[in-house]
Amino acid sequence: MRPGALTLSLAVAIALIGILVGAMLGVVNTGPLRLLAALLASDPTPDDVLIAWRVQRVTGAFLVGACLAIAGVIYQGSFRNPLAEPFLLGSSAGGALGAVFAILLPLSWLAAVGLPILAFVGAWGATLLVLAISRAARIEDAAGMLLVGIALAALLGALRSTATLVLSDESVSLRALISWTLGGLQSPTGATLLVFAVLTAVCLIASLGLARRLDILGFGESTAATMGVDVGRFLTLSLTVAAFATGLAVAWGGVLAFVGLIVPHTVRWWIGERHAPLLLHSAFVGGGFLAILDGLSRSLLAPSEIPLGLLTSLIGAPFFLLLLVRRYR
Amino acid sequence: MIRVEQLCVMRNRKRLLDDVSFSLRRGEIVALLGPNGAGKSTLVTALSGLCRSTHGSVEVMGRPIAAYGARERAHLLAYVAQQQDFIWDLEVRDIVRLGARSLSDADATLAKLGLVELAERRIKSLSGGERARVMLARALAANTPFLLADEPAANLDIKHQRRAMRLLCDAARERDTGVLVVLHDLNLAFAFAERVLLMHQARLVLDGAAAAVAASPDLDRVFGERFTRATIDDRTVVFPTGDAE
Repeated sequence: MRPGALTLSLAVAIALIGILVGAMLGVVNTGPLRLLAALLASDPTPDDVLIAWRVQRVTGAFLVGACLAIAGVIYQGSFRNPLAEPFLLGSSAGGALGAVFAILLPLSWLAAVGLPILAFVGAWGATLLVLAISRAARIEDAAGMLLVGIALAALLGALRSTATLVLSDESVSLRALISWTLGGLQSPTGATLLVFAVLTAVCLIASLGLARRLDILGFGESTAATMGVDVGRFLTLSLTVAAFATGLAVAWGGVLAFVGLIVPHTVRWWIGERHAPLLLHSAFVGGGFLAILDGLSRSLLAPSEIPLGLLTSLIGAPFFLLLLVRRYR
Repeated sequence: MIRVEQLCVMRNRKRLLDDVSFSLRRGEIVALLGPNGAGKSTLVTALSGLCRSTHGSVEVMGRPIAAYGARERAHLLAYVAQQQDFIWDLEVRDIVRLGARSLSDADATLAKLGLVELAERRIKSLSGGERARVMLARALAANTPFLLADEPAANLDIKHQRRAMRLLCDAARERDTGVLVVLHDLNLAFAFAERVLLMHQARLVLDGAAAAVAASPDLDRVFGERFTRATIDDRTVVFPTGDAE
């Protein structure tokens, strides 16, 4: 289907339905009217507060999903590799390593301000490392680049585990840390949610500014250079935006595999591969997708909560295998 | 004008271009001929600013090519590569628009190349020849003073080869575009180009009018073939009739 007002309206509808369904699901499922009543209550009961908290959390999940989808589209366009995504490229692992340092180091200011910053630095560093290693080894094919990313992700994961074991003490719950690493959404307050929403919007706007050059890069670096793209400078810029989006997602949602792969590919099948509409639609669909998964993670085994990262892997890994089979058949 | 002076390019101690000098004026169509490995593609990539020279210079409109930024260069030179990657399965119309200065330029070029019927098709669903036409359209839609095309006719059938060459001639005549086109088909070059450059072993061995190059014994020596010449409709046509002595 050609992208346009209709498809964008559908993507927004998917986002809104995702937030609604995600907020309705939980230990006790609620209907939409009960949800509305809880949100509008002038004298909220404890149940109302719990439901309102759920809405905030699901909105956070929506923003994490949007960031991961945006990052996935940019990584795929920049690496000219349809299988690239933040988790497989080691970018999420880099972000998680940075975030774990922010949590574990005994500096109080780090936990508040430093978490997203170190997550971004980690995600960015890992991405640039994958690019540098691939270029040094003259690896240009999709599979080779992913292998570099997977090896780097394993190394960064081991470093993160080591840091967790060495640096954790009674002040930081090891269980909570591991749960977060597996994809445990933070429950942002209204103010932080607003900051998160603004930063996500900045990522989306910045990514739309990259869209035309991502289209051109698909013809190859040489052709892109003759069509006015300063390839080296552009890649630095695009990977910075992608790492920023990944860092934001990791800071609020931990390591969530395959969201940056499932969502852009599904949207590609739906509206085509031009990057501007792809980014816009993927942001909404990715947000809606993760909002629903968040609801399922809280309700499937209630009162226990399934780490969100396990759910995304359970869905994403078979999806990735399907893409591989299609690619090599 | 593009002016090339004593251009040398070396990679891994191998000389890819050796002391190449020539100029390309706006409004003329020049064919670049030579056997495989002669340095034709390297010359075109050096002119487009994609490959650094070891010695010598390439000037476009009086300034060294390296002095232009990527965007400025794209406004001066359009380039059709020999091999084209298509990672993303974009629609033909979108591809042509990516190269065009304006939407009207894109639509006019689509119409001129007979691509309107394919405009909403995805590029990966097209044949090799159709894809080549799309990439030629993308370059023509850029409406630049110079156009460099590396074997744009390679995947085309005879009808579309001649049509593509006519389009390049039209661009030279109507838009005052300077066109340098790498060709393997000697007769296509002699039929459409005003001037022919002949390369051999990284050197430019002939630079002259199409008829003069067609008549030159250097043509036989460079290709290692004995050519028989004939004149049809005031154009020289060559046929290989055996190994050169």
